[in-house]
Amino acid sequence: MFSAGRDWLQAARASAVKDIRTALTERSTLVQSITLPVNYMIMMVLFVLAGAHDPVAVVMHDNGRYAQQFVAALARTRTCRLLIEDQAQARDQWRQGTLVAVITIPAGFDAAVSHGRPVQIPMAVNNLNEDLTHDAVWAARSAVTSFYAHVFPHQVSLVPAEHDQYPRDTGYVPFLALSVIVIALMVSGLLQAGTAAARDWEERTVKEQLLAPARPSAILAGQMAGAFAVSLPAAVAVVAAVVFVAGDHPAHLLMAAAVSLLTLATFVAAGTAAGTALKDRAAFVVLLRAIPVPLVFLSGLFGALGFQTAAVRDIASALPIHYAIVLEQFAFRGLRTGTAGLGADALIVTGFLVAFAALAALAHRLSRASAASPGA
Amino acid sequence: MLTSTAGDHIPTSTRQPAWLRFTAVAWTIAWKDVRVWVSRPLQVLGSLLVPISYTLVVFLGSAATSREPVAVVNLDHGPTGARLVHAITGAGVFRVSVTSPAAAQRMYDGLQVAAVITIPPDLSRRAAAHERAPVSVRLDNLNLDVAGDVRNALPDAITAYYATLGTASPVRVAIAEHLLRAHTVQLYQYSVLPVIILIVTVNGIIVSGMAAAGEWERRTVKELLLAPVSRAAVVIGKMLAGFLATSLLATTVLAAGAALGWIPLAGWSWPASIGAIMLSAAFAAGAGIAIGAWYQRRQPVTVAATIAAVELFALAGGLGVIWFEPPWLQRIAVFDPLAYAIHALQQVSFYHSFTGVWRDAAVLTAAAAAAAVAGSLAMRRELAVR
Repeated sequence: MFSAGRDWLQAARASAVKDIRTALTERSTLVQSITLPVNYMIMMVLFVLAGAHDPVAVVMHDNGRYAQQFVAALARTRTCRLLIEDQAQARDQWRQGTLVAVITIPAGFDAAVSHGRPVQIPMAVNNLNEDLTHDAVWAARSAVTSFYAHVFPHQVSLVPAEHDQYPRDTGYVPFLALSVIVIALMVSGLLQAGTAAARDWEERTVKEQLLAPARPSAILAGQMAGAFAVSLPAAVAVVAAVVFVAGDHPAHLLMAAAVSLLTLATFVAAGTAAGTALKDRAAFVVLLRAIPVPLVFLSGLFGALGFQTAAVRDIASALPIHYAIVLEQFAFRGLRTGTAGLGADALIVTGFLVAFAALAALAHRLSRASAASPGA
Repeated sequence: MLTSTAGDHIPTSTRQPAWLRFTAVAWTIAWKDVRVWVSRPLQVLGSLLVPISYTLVVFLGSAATSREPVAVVNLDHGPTGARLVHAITGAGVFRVSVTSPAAAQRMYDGLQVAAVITIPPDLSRRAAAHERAPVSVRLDNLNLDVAGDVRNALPDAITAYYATLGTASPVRVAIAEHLLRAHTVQLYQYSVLPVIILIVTVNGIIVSGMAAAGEWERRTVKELLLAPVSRAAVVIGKMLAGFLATSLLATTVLAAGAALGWIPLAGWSWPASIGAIMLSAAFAAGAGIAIGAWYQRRQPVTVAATIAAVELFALAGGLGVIWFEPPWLQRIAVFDPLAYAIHALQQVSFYHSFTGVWRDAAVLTAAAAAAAVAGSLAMRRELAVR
């Protein structure tokens, strides 16, 4: 019995070593397993930048105290980049289409405010799309209440009193970077395992494997272990980038490590199943490019899943990515974004790992018949 | 007489003029590549999945970053509370559930709402007495985007509330908005055109790149490069396959967008938009040849295509509006052909204007020519190596 176990381990080890050696010769795949997730991270940063720097010019025909305080209230909204300009500058930029809005503080603003007279602030909006228009108008309107709350606290009785769930806000880039970890683990695991499994079929080395005096489960386990080992450096590199560049220092280090390893193992198993089923590296990689990003978008990338629509919630609940993101968000930032409980989330991811491994075994078993055929 | 790639003079078998023979060779190669491409249904499906997935991303991205769900608990039975609830729901910036304290608590604990706004029981009395009346906001500030939306939206609703009081309002400052355009398009509509350019770039690079790399993988490149035909015809033929497949796909997406009413195409904006797509497709196809000849294997080409296309797209301001991006990104975008492609397509499709479009067309033509030269040089390099 011990001998059988030892033989199984030896076969698995040999299969893993063979796959690691082969993978190390394919430098482009190794490089891709790092560059793809880094690419996604750059995209996330550019996505955040796209909505955070809308340029709004303020033309001040009155430089009095109240006018200055109104501009300060505008700046506090943090939804746009305020540019204090003279009328000619603002007009030039407006003509060039490089401004979202021009807000003009009229002459006599201070006098009107101090005497309680109505005063209108003209705001020209370059309404290219609903989102930009909404952000600019929103900032200006909310600045009005903020201005009065600071300048005339006794005149405006209605004021928001905020009670935050967390002592500190998490920046949008650090928040999205936690999902990038999951993308990195998913892409590097799928890429390495899927290409390794498909390569054996493309290069017809699978026949030797199937005819070898070793149990198929040992060969499969070895393949997965090999892909896991090769994926690990890429995963570590991306996690390091998230920690040191995005500033996401793990709140629970051991949990962060355990969740990352579990997630990587899950996608290695999924990659092995998909690669064995497809048997074509190019086709596998094309699918790999198309599928992960939408799946991550469907899995609670931007906030708690409960804030999304019912359809998105249903899809995400059926995917391991959502549970992995929830676990990473807690492990790194202590954020609670899942409703199932952390233990249940971990169990669900483990369940997906087992299911994908079983699917890989099934695909392997079904493929044996085609490999054994005379034409193969 | 024609000059072969090896430099020998080979007699022509027909009396066809050189340009006609050049065209026939390019067309034959393009047709062969299209047939090879179509014979791999999984790859075709995979390349179609990319545009589908990015379209999905645009929808999900615009939906996810819009209205946050909040619960509103109104404990005030007076007019101020009712007006404030009306202002919050009418602002259109939240998905509001007006509910009881217990239900709001359940929703908050169950992560169904980002915030609970509680209007205190004595709000009307305090407001009438001009006393300070704090409106409680319990906020799930898990990231700055969600928190920022709620933090700005409530003051906006309070401003709207004061506006309903008319001359009785203590707030005498009002914003007078003037929109530049009569119609404001939705974010997903606005994002459709950049996505079409992304589709063009990804697909053009993949089809041409796979066609080029496939010649090395199948070991047919030597025959191709040593064939007694102009190398330019070989490169143009390979580009043509990517160009045709991509232009057809992107025009279909454009037509679908117009049919759904997302893209307001009419009259001359149809051919102008298709022209912008074709110029972009020519650039992508040329870049694909260069990438395919560089890698010589199909698998890295697919990944390189994604990385190159997505980076060019993002750096061109495809995720927003390039003029509103940080200055460093605008400086990079000057050298990015996709910035000109997106601008040209938006000008002719959305705004029915040719402002800046001729400059865009010139840049795209130059970029396509440069990409074709790069592809030709990459293939020539391989011949020299062999």
